[in-house]
Amino acid sequence: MPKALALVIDTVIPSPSAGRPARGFLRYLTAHRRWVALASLLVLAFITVGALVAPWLYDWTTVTQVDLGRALLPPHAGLWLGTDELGRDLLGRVLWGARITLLVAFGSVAMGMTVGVSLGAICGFYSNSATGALMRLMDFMIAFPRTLVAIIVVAVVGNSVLSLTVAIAISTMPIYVRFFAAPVRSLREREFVLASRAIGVGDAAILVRHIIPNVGSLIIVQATTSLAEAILIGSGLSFLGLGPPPPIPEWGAMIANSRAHLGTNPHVLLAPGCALFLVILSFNLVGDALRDYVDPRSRRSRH
Amino acid sequence: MGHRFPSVNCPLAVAGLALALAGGATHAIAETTLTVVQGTEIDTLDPAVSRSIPSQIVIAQVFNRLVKWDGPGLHKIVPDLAESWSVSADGTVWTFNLRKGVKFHDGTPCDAAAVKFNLDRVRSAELGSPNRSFFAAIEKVEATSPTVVTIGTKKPSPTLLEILAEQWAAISSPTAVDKAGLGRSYGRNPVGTGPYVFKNWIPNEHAEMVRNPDYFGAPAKTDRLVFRPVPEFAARVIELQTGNADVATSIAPELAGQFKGSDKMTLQQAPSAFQVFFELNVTKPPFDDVRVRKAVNMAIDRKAIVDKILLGYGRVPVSSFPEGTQGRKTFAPYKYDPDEARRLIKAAFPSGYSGVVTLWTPNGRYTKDRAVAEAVQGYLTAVGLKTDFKVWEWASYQKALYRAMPGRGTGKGSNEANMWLLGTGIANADIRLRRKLATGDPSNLTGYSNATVDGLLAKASEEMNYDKRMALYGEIQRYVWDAEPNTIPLFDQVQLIGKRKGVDGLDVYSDETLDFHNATVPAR
Repeated sequence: MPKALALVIDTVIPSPSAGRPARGFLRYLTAHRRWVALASLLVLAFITVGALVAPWLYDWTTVTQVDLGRALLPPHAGLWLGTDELGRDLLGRVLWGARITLLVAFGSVAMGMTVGVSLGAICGFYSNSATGALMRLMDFMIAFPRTLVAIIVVAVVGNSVLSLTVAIAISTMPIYVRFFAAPVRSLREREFVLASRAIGVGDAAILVRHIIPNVGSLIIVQATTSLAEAILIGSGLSFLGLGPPPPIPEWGAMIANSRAHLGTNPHVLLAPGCALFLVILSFNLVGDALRDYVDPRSRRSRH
Repeated sequence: MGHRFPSVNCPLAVAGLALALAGGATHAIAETTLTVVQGTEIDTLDPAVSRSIPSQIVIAQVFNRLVKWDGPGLHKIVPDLAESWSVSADGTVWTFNLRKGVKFHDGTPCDAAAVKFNLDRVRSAELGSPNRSFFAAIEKVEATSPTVVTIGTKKPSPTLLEILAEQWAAISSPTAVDKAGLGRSYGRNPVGTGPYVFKNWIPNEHAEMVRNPDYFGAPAKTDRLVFRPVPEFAARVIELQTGNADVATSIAPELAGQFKGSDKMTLQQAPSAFQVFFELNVTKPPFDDVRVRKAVNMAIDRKAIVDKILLGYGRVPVSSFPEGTQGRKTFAPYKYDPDEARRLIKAAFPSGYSGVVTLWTPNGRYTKDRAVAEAVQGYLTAVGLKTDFKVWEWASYQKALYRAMPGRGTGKGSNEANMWLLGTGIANADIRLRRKLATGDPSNLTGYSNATVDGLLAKASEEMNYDKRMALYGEIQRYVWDAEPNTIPLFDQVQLIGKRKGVDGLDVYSDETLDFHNATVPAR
């Protein structure tokens, strides 16, 4: 791409994140004293690391093997969060649950985004009856509550980690299509795109090299908030018994199964409940900060 | 209503009258109300079509049957609307002499024609009652005179009296049924002969009834009964604590602790005919091999399940019939021996069972059902069986299990699974055994078909001597316990009923129905 064109892009589309490393975001957070967002980032890092190392701390048998002899033990040394109603180590289950939760969240967002952004870019770039029909289909899907769509998908394909991931991806995908069609449509008319076309660049190359990179920052921001939503839908379905089958530890199911013990052994419910609360809150707060960082207009209005 | 005394034939009423006169007050006794909170809303109050326990609890207060059980022990059948009865020498014609002068709450006389009307109605295809098949033995019902009913059966029917003692055989006012017309609207305006007169039912709010002053037996002790649905376990306990309710049914084990040391409420425990078990698909591997069925029965530590999951409010089964079931025989409980279980599985599958055992459970239907199923899954994994676990919502679970699939293994949707969790609380021995064990019965989900059991059931259906018949049921119980099981019995439920302190005289039946006839409430 000619240097001049790149310059045009940067001036036409103000996107300070383009090409900047993640360090920029960290520097932004400290410079603007956004300590809450920084703390959220730390929480996410901590939980992600916990999820990654869980198999080395607790093997699968430990977190799934029923041992009624030690059911509902309170937290103490060695069993830092105590045990659940079937005598399984709660800390181990919460960490393994983080694996499942994050796997479902990242998997579904990646899946939904890949399809959604591609369709959105095509629908925004081309205006014909086919893309029009596709957009109406997306509107139709958006008209249904997301959780309901996900329930229908799980009901059809059965419950497993994969089907839960697919269900959330399908239920959120139309939003991405709508969300990305609009900026692509406005980019399509920009001078640098017209210029590329004038020098003979094909549609596919324009989409991949000029359009998609310019909505990149939007994708990252949207992904962060979508992760929080995916986790909420996933654990919600699991709470209703539509998640991965036992003995797979999943936070939503763990909360559902320990409701009865709230009065007598609140730790059983608090462990997965707090983990879920922290992760969703952190994703939302980080997402907010990321949006401010990426979009200078909202940054200015805030500070 | 204290100013209106019924015909004085009861010493208590005399004492009450004397007290009232001594105190110089003739009508100052305050009206007493007993409020019951149940977990599930009533679905219908038409006894002929009702099958749910919460409905039958309400129905039992308004209606009478021809005959009834003598009490929660189910020892013998005693008169209710019929004063006496006899059976012909060949065992096919039953004659019932009705109690004279009994009237329905709407004034209609309860005569032989009314009894015939009811027994014909419950058996009719037009009504389509789910209880219709229980009356299959009856050939015709005749009103021989205003007070004599004769029932002809196709074959000698030893179980007839037991069927007539069930809630479905309760006698409704023909006038009220006709007035309600076809369809199910009678279920909203039931009229019987019982100790309480139905007043109104506002769905999802309450059902209300008042004492029947003209009841033929001893009058009920409380003036008014109110039934309310409160689905949340914790909310029912709060209703008791705050004094909003006097009786709360099905208290969750983990909430039972709140009753200890409470000065406002007490916990009544009663045996229940309800047993929770896994049924095993005996038509395909691994459970088509009886050794594996015995192995899984030894792989489970039932004592731990009862102590840790049910918190002690349950019992380790010693028969497929829990306490309070008719004709119960008890045996040695299955011992917990995972090593022996592994050995038996190895004998059936020398290189281990390579398939996956599909395990289904409902969630929230029975006491701690899902948690118990998960524990069982853990025990099966421990003896080397790989499992696949599926949790169902109750309505779709039932549909999935009972779906007709002719020619496939069990012949039902249950064939998709290897084992599934269910419970039954039927206190009648014949019905309880026949449903689960008779070859081809619509409720037989396991594909169980055993010549010995079928033979014993056939013999029992012709045995007119009560004790001999019960002995036959005992033999079947022994056979399925020791020789050819088709279930993994998990635990016998214990009924936990919460009462406001001072509530007394509540009769709790093992089929989980309640009788409020003698119940009294303390002043508020």
